[in-house]
Amino acid sequence: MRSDTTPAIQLVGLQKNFGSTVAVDNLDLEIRQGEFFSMLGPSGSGKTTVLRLIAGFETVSAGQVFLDGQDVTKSAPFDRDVNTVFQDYALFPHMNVIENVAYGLRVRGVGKAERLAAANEALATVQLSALATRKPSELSGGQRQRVALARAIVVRPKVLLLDEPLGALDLKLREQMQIELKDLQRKLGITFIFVTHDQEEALTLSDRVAVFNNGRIEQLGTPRQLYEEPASAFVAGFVGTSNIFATTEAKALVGATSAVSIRPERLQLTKTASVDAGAMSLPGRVTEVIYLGAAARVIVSCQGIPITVLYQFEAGPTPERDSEVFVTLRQADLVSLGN
Amino acid sequence: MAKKLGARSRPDTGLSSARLVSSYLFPRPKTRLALLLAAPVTWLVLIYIVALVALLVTAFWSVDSFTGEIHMTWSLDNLKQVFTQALYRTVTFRTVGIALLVTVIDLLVALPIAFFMAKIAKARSQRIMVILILMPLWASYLVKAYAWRSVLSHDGILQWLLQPFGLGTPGYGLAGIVITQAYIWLPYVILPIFAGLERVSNTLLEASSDLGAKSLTTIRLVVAPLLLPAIIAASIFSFSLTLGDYITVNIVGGPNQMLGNLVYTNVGAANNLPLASAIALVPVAIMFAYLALVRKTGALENL
Amino acid sequence: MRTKALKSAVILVASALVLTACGTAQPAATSSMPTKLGANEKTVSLLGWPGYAEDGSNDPAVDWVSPFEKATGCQVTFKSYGTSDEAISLFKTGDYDVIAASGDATLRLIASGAVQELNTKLIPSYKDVYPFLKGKAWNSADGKVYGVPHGYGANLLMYKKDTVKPAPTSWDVVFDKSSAYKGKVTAYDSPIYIADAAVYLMAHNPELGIKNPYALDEKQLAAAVDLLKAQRANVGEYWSDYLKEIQAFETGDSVVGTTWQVIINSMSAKANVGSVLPSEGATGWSDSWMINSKAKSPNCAYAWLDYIDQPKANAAATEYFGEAPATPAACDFMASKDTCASYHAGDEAYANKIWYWTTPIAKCLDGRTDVQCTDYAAWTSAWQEIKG
Repeated sequence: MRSDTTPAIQLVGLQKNFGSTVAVDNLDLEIRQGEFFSMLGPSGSGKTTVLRLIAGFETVSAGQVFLDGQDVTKSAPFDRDVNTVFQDYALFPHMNVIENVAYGLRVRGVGKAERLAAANEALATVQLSALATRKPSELSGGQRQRVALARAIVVRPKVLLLDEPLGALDLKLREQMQIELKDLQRKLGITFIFVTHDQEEALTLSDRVAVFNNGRIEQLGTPRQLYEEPASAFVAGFVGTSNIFATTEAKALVGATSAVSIRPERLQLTKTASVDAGAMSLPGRVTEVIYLGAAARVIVSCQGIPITVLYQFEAGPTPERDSEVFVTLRQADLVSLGN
Repeated sequence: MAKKLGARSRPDTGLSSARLVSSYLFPRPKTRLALLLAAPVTWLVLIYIVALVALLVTAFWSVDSFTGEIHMTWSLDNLKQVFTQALYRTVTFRTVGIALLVTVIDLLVALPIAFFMAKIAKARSQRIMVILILMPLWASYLVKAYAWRSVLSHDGILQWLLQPFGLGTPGYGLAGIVITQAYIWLPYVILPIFAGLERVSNTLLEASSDLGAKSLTTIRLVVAPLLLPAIIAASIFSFSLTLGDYITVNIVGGPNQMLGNLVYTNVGAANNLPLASAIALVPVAIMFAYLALVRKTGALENL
Repeated sequence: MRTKALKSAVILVASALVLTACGTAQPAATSSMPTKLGANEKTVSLLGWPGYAEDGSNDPAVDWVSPFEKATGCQVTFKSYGTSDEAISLFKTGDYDVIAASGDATLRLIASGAVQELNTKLIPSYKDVYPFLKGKAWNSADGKVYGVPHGYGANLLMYKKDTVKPAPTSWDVVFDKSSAYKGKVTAYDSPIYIADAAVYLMAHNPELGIKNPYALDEKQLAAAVDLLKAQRANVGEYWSDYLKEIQAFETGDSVVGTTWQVIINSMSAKANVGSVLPSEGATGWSDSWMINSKAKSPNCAYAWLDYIDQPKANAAATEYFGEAPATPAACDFMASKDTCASYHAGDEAYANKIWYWTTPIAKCLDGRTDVQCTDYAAWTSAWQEIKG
């Protein structure tokens, strides 16, 4: 983090309605300078709308957008010092790669030689120098992605907005691009705002993550905070896998007074009930065993409530279906979700 | 089990002839293609190419002016006449001028309408607008031309509308032709541009704006080049259709004639098919020149 | 247009090939002239000027086709045309058994072998036709009869009474004085209209020596063309579709120009038009019914030719179109007793003053042998040039 305390982006009471639908509901948010910030949520949760409000593609219904301390609420997209990497890349099909990348400089009136040099440099950053004269239609998905990135960073924006940029790539490529994105962000030192519905991606890349639901932020925190201390059943369910027990179930199983969640990897299967202090064991019957390679996902029915356990193979032989087992947990691992 | 199910669920067609044909054709893609294209290619060759060649050949024949019999002896007289006589030059320039004017007017009217339809109108109003634009195509060409004859008349609605402003109807003549033709071909100009604009995705416009381009710059650098093929397609419609018209001229054109009238007069009235063919080659040549020009600008490469 | 032209090109090339092939193989169908008639076929198709075969569909009171159909069992189909040139094109498609053609078309039809010689013995009504209409250049050749007369009349001058004052008596309102009605003058859209200019020049420029408006040498044609080019500047539009002229006079877009009696008859009272046969004389027509040399229904065709010269039918047809009948007895059947008088029916001297449409040919029709006259092809290209 930089020492500069002016937020890169500050949203105050941001509201966006589409007809009678509320897409963004009275949102307050500060995004720090140089931060890799993710907005995570299911589709329709408002995260993309927030991004478009920051970029200026949509006008706010109420509230304000500050960029680097300046009110840009009423500014057109071309007057905002932010750039966007679009989900479909939005490369100009009639221009080749280098022309695409140099476009932002061209419309700013930068001379031809200068802008080509800058564009080449940006292309080098994304390792695409060899393809400078290709048309977008001649590129693979991953290459287009890099061109879109280069085109956005060549104008040195204060903030880079990325709208599900990896959504269209296959798994391998996506993982590779994640690493490159993170790398790029460190190198450039500019603020990245990353919109995704992929919780793993958000956790992997981000300094902080905002989990969106119904136009509001459910929880804002570091990936670790979200994972280990989910503030609500929605976050617990959306970020990673969780066993979520509603209040009545929690009471019956672990004697808690509110809804609780616990991660499958925090649970153990034992043949006998644990006697350790701070631990408790719930008797149950194995209903399903799903082989995952390094581990297995075992579903145990305790008092008729299914509990998912991530079972590491080193811990003994695989439990079999219909065998009687104990699910053992440490009470400290239970996360209270309030009501 | 799955195999059995699959076998049973397939209808037991036995060896019906359709099936035999299908299974014969399945591994023979070239035969399939040949069968598929046979009819359209025959049509194209017979009706289109042969007719065009017949037109070309006829232009070199001559006709007995008294009996109207065609003499199939080779002569360049018709072509010489068409290319040297002042009459044909005048009419050609008039025709091309009208066609260009109609095209420019149609483009100027069509671009904002198409832009509104493609980028601003909501889905519902977009559908309504498409229907409204297509509606005139359901009416006969003649009905529309005669409607304009009545509109342009000194006794007509245009005169009545413009009189309070000290203006009047242009009456029957060149202006009448241009107005009527521009009206009649407008749907053919709006639709390709609309389709072209639909293909220019909104995110491209957003991306341009995002990268710092103001609206006019975006139109110049992104919309225009992407739309150029559609605009050219549209202009080919209005230009070539106007180039060949002779009906509107007769109805609202006053005493003027266009190339189409000369062709019509020579076929229908003077019974001089060879000369008509020679004249008909003029718009054909103009269209070829136009297409060559378009190709040279490279506007078709982005198609 | 390309497709339009192409389609017509294909059709016309095909028909032209057929015509030339057959036409040269068996010139004119003289040998096939029938000596007696057979049973009537079921249908007969006619081609003629508008109003030449009315079956009551335009005006229930105007119908002389239905009685024919009832009497003969020949079902009639009729197509009208706007100019003689159009008539020839249509007739050469071979779709028509019978044509009613004016003098500027008949010669060409005879010359090209498109129509057959008639056996007038098989047309009983022919013997009562005015003798001065028989054996004329436009219905006979080498003493052979190719057409029976339908009727004759003059091309008149029509004007709107409220605009064209005083009432004109000369063609000068559409020629030398046409600029007074700039943009509202109309003229007939056909090369044959050059003869109208020639009639005018005969009266006003005697030094040109025009004796017959259809026999113009180069110099005389040039003078007529100049006159028509000057007129062109003041023409609002040319007409060949008679409905177009009616509409233009109704709306006032045209106020003066050449016309036919049938058009005058069709004008509403509101249009307030007058008409006159100007002092210079006029062009006119003497029309003939002819039979296609390859008629599909020759018996019905003969029946029609006989029928149309019978007094009652001839009266109905010629009175409706506004022309003098072909047969004197027709005058007894006219709805208005004045009709025959106003068209000078039977007045041979008057009839001879009308310059009936005929096809201009290189051999001067006025008998001059020291010069070549301009033929119809020259007139056609002159006409295109006049229109510009």
